[in-house]
Amino acid sequence: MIASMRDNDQLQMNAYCDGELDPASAIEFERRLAGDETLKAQYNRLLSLRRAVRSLPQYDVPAGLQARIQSALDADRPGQASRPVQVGRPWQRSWSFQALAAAAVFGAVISSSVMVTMERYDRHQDVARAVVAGHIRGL
Amino acid sequence: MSVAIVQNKDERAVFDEVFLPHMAEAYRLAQWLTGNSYDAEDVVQDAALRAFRGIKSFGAVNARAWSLTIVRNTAYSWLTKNRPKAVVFTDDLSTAEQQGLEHEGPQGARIETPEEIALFKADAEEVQHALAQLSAQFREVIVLREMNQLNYRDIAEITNVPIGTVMSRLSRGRQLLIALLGDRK
Repeated sequence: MIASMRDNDQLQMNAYCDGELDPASAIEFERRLAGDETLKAQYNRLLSLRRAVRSLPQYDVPAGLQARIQSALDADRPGQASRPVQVGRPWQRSWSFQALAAAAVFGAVISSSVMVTMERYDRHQDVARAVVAGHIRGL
Repeated sequence: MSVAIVQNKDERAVFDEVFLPHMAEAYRLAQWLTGNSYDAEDVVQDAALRAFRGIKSFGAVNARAWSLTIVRNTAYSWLTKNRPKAVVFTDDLSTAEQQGLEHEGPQGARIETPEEIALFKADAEEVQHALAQLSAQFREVIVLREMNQLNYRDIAEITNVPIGTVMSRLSRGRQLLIALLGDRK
């Protein structure tokens, strides 16, 4: 019961602080506040917290965001929910560039592997030719 | 703006009237929920597309609450997908968080600790850090109330919970903030 009362006190105090109590309840809370030092200390703490939070710097909308949204809307039509929403920063969305780079690296690796294999194959062929030539000479 | 006007006007024009005026608040909410500007931009862009596609469903009652609801839901989808641990239900408070709420004496009176006396000498960075430490459900109601200065009814509409839950989350979130700032070294 005591815990429940404390919770109610907290809720009422927060609602009063936020201007959400009806006039009658607000007057009643003010009367209690005047006669209760503990409640008053808690209320002052709440006011201090609110001041501290409200004084935090506000985040400004990045300059390019609105243009980015307008571009995304231009490429879209309302009611086409089946089209997937493309989210991501420009360098993330333009994955074709990344795919191209990956393909180039992959191609280079494959080419060098083929070169090495061919070289090894040529060497193997030389050995084979030498062995065959040795046999021919032995005839 | 009535529903008929929404239906008759160009959808892009309606979107511009309904969503764009709340871009700053939308971005602020997204930034606080995701924790950084890059992700906030993605969330707002995604939310804008969703709003545009669903502009016909706009009930022409409260454009601000409607827009912020979409941003908030988009941010939660994003968090659930990318940072599931950040989405903690408020009933799942850790023991430490519970203890943070309960600096109480035997008679139930709240004891004012030395840390709390020095509480609000905290600078902006410390307050920002403490706010970022709250779970998303507590943080969002505090941001919607203190930064966006919305009333309980609008916050309830945006967060899709009863007003009583908004009150409870605000109260508990603020107590947690006080405890976090009081415990700072």
